[in-house]
Amino acid sequence: MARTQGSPARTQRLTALVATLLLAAATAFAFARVFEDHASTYRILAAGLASGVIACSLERRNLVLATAASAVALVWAIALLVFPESLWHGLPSLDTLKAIADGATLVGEQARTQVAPTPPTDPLVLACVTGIWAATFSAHALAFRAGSPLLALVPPLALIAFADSVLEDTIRPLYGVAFLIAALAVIFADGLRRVQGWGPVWTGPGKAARLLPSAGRGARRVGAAAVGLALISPLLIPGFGSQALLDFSTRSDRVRIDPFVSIRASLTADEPRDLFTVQSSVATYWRMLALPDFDGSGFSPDTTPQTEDVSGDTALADASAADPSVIAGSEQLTQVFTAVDDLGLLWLPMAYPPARVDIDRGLTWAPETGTANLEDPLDDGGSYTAVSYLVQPAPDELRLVEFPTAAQNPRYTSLPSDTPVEIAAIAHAWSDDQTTTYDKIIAIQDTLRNTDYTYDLGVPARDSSFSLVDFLTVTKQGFCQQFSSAMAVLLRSLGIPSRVAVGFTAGTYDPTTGLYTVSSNDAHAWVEVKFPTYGWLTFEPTPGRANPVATYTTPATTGASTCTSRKGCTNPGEGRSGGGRTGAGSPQQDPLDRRPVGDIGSLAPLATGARPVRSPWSARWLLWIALGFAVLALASIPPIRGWRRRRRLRRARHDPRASILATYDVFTERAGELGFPRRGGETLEEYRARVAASGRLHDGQLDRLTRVAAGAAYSPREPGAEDARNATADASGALRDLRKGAGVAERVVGAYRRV
Amino acid sequence: MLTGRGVTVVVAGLAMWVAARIVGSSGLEIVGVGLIVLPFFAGLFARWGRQQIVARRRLSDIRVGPGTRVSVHIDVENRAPVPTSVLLLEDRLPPALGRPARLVVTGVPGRSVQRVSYTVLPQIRGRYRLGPLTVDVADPFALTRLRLEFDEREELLVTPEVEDLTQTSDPASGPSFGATRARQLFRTGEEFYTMREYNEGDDLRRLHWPSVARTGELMIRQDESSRRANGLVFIDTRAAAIGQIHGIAFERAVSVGATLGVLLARRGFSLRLATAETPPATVTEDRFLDALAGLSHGQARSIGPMLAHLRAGSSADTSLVFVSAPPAPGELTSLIRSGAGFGPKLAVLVYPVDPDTLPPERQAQLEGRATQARMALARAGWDCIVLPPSMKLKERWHAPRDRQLVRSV
Repeated sequence: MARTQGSPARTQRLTALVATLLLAAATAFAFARVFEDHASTYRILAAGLASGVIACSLERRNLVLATAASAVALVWAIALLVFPESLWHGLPSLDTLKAIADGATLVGEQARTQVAPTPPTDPLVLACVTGIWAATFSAHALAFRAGSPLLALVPPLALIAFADSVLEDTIRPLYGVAFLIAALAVIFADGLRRVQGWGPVWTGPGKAARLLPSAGRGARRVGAAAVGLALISPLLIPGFGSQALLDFSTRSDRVRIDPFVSIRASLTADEPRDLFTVQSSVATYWRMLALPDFDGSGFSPDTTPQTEDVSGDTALADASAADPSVIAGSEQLTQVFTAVDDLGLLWLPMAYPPARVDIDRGLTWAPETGTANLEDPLDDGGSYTAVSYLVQPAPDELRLVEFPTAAQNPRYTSLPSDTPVEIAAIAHAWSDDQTTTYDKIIAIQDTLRNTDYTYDLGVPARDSSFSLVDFLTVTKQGFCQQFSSAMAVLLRSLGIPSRVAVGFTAGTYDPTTGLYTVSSNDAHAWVEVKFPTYGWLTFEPTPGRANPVATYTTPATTGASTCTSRKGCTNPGEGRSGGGRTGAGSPQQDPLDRRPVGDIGSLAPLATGARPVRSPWSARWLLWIALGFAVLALASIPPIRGWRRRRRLRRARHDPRASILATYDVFTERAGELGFPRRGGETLEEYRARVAASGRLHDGQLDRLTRVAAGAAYSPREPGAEDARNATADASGALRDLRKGAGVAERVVGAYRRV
Repeated sequence: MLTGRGVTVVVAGLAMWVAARIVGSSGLEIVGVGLIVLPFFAGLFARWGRQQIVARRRLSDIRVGPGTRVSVHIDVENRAPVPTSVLLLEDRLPPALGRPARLVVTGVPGRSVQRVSYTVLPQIRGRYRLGPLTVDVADPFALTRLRLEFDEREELLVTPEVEDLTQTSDPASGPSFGATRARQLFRTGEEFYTMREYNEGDDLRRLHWPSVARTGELMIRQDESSRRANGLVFIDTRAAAIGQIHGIAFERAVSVGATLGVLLARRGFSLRLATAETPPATVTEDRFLDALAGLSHGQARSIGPMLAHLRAGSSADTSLVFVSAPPAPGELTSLIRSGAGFGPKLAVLVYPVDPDTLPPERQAQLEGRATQARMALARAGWDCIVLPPSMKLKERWHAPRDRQLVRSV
């Protein structure tokens, strides 16, 4: 004879825990792909598992209480996993909260400046930990509190879809399969609950005959078949893994280099896109704009530029602030730019300082920053001609230049008041032994280029003052954005007017066509220093990089071939080398290009592989989405309950007896939410007496409802439709009375009470 | 075959697959495909496990009194060599026995039988048919369900409550009143015997020599072994008089009839049962209880014709038990007239409603009618007991008679 199986609740909790943890683990592994390292994966995995354990352990508690407890645990988890240094004897402290607040403010910026897979910056890890925590908790609540296992899959799926959409790596079905297994576990756990809700479970002899092992065997077989078929679906389904039908990312066909965003996004792209070609006799930097303002966290463009409309071959007002005599004595360089793609650039690249531009569309000119703004971006094939001056003073000439005081040029020498004093100290330490301002500039530039500072695209784009100190004193790794920002800030701390310029390196020269081809990962940033008489001159602090025409930056020592950093030379980042640029007879041998061609080639590491610049989804949005899911999960429970009750009543409406019983059941559930749950084993009459004792009922509706329900349950006499209608009316009346006696808080909390 | 949940999974899988194609997520696409095919594999699994399942039901007792727990055993036999999937059993019950019994049976091994059981606790007399039994073969994910139905029914008889009148409810009051009542009712029972002429084959040891001497013929003593006294239990089943079936008064009347009928049967009476709509029929004790188990109210307007029929078909020594509500004056007359043709007569008058729950004027009216009937019946030689519907017969059976009534008799 079979026997009844005891403690089904324990089995249910166990299966729910396992399913939740599987879901959390599968989601964490798939979601953590947005980070480069494995350590972050483990941190996100730990957060997901912890959230699942807490959700399961609080399963029998009120949902509001469980959510609050989970939120507290989340703060602790963030402290442990993201800001461990802020812990006080293992507990979160005020520093933890401050770090979380600071990190949260940086999430948006980090999300904009990073491209997945990204280094695990604290703000992004914070966002991801929060996301996986919220997704796991809401998944558990939806699956095992609200009984909607399919809805429960939505929050984790959103995270995985996010990761899939920002990552353009090869198809990795393993993550999908892992998530599918977890989803099956959730459905199985829910199915087990439903089976156990059918009635007492009878099992045969032996542990293997118990419900969980017995059903688990079958589930493994069915699940394995489904997973197997899903796994080979790429072979069966045409177009598997094809491009998205709708691309919800902010990527467009136009190629953008956004100075507001880190140009690292362009530099690390796997698939480069050619942007334009340049016909020029000299290889130089194709400058787009200057970033004059430093707010303590980074250099930014002029937000209120004074501009003037220009057209045709109108001469551009002098942007270099150089003496007319210097300008007049400079040679001119003509460049013909042709777009080879639909460019999203709103600033015209050209050698600096430009003299005039010939273009077939509207153009505004900002003399202060030397920026030519397009009204409409260039399309594929669009062309313009620019003529620029090549201002190339000799180092000795520059040594003679007398700089004004900082107060005379406040915009380009000012630093925020909270700029760490270490920056000025470093600047002095590096340059105090130089006698002239020019030599101080060169000293700082060369220290960055030639000592133990290395080029590394893997570091996050932190360019705040504190991050600069960190960069200058600890990490000493970065790319053009860090190097140029660091040099500009160091110079400003010495009172030397400076700013950051953004544009492109010369690109790849093709001797057969005589054109430089500039691609997306030729994007670059460098430093401009304002010399009286000579105006804004270009300096290059980034190791392995050099502007061929800025000869004054290599005063009689190393020249431009200062690729001292192996990492800098080999990193597939800024610039590119290639046969084209080293070919004999290339324009680099023009007398104007006073640097050896070989040097240029060696200084410009080859960038292979890149992809269209992609503005990643904002992690701030991710955080909001996760929070939104959590709120949605909470908010959806009362309507789901209500919908289920209505469905139950609707299904029973054709049979008066079933209708009355369903009405009574729904009444006891709703009364339970208001603090009057029907206890196990309590008879209808006992329940009626207990509720009536509360004094909230006035009109005897519950008495009538109880009588009718008892008749429907136990009397062979068939109740009529009128009885069913009366029962509905009585139930509504009784509930109305109960609600009147309940406070708002009790009603709100009751909506989440487990009944 | 697919449950609503299974359909939801398929639709969710399709939606997920479409969403995956839209956003270009290969991982999501795999999940979508997996969810789409899951219910179909689950259905195959359930179908595979449902071969040759046979279920049989057996009751621990088929005739019980109210409040007696009855075990229902179900043997689930798997005649196939492979184990079954999860089985969801549902045995439908009459509403008076509660909601359908639902049981879950984990996989039954191949070629084996698994017995499961549940209990019912019938509180109301009646004839109940249990079944049909349905077995749903479910997959482990509860996405599909295959239904097998076994239409074999079992009948459960719940007899009326039979009170034990042989025990004194109140020792202080002594056995006298109950015993007196019984002797009066049963004085034609075991104690009575008569003589008849000897017939060939009679046991010579039963010759009654004084009578032989007195009559000069061989006379044989005829006692209970050769002639049984008759007892007739009449229950007024008119809805207009005693209420409807499962009403408290009707059930009390049936219980009183059952109690007294069983008492008669166990004292050796040949028992007959009559109601307002059915003529008397001789029954054994078991048949008597079976008949009462299925007794329902009738729509007859008057018991006069039936009483006349009873009188015509009964002998003068037949003991009569009459159970009804306090009769109206017109019915009382015909009852007294009919009772004249019987031997000992006992009337148990059950109030159709508890007088205490009625308004004073209606209460007085009802109690006045009962008192009038009791006095009239007493004058006509009846023993009479009046019962509120909530009171058991035992409580009045051993109670002393009304002195005033006795004097008036």
